[in-house]
Amino acid sequence: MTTIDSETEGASTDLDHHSEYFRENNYAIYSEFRERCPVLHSTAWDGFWLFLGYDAIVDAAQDAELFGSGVDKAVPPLSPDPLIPIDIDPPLHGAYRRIVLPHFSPAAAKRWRPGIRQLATELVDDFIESGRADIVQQLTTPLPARWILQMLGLDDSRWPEWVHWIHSSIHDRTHDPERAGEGVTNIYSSIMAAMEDRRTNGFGDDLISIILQAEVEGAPLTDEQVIGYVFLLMLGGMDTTSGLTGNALVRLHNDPALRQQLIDDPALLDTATEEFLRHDTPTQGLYRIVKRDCEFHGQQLSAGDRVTLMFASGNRDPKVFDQPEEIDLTRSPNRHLAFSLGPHRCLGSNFARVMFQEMISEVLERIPDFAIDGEVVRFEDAGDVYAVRHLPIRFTPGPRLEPSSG
Amino acid sequence: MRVKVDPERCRGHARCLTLAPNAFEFLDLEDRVTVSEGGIALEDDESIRRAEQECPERAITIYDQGDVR
Repeated sequence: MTTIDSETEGASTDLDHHSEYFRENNYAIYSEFRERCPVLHSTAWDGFWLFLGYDAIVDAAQDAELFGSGVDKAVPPLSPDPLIPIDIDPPLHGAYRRIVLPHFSPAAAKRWRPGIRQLATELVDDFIESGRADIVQQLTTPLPARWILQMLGLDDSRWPEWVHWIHSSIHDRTHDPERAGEGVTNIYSSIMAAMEDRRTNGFGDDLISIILQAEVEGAPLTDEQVIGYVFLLMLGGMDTTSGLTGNALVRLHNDPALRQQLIDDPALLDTATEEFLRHDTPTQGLYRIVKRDCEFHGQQLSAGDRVTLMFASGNRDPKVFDQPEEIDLTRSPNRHLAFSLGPHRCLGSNFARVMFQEMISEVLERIPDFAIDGEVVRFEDAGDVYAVRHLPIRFTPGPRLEPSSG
Repeated sequence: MRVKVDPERCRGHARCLTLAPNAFEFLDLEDRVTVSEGGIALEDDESIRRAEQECPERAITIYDQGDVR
């Protein structure tokens, strides 16, 4: 139960964004509090702020001097070492980010698009004859995971293992910290092994080799920094794009007219992508730490205060979006916050769009009559990433497009 | 039509590049776009206006013909 006490000490609640209550009511909570308290204090987790209003989120995300990104910002702490570059402040942040930038550019995503579609085709081939699938486990999870493992030069057939560790590190960290810790330990040791392999057997053109050879301010990254970088690329790659696609597939099931609109007019996919990003934002929020005492959107913030920028709430702010709870596949303008703003704009956004579009196209072209057939299971903790874990569907079976590999 | 991208505001979301691909050029290592002066004429005004309206950082400004400066 969440209460609000706006008479005694300003706007304050005991809202815990990692709770089951939040997962089941996140959008209702946003609309209940957003207008009254665009900047809301919670007493949970030793106290932190939730920025719920679009303008407050924009102002904070674009002001990296006032709202820092040091590793202490997370509620509760996520990783012992900084994830790079998301836990680094400008100006050094730019130097770290630049190392991989050409590999995540719009041109890079365009080059990968045919390969990503091919992967989607193969994954759908694996279940299309059966008429049934857990489409999150069999398409939306493996596709982004195998893509990022390929970018990193790792064996992408081992995706289930990596995904398990990554999911555990994020989704278990508040209710089963020991299990989350095991995931992190496995991630650290496996990345370390890949680093050793490259140092022994020579560098390639993969991202781990590129990060290992990079220099910032004239020095190579420490082992902890390399691990923090690779860890972040996996977190971004393995969790969020599947979250977006799974959330969108649930909407398309629930709203047959919406699905038909997209089937009839595939040219809508560009604006539809932005609309699903806005309406069904996977990364609900990301953290910042206040760098100095200040008044901000009517509240007094103190240096050291932790903040979560609730992008998903800003994305439904009626001051900015007309009928924000509705999905409008032609919505324009649509300046949503799903990829954040400012210097920490999602590094993988170009690939997220491409992967989402190729997966949705593959589904609508090959299994257009899919229907949810069983329980939609969400990850327990939606405070960081709001995503589907299991999405069982049935559909009219169809033929494979590629010859069976055996 | 004259178009300007504020290099301080642009954060490389690349929405403009999708909406009016000829009018903008992406600088990979800078993580931002710049105006492609030769390409503006290849896009219709509506596409460029949409690019301005969709920019999440509000980094794009359009100066219509006849505007002073």
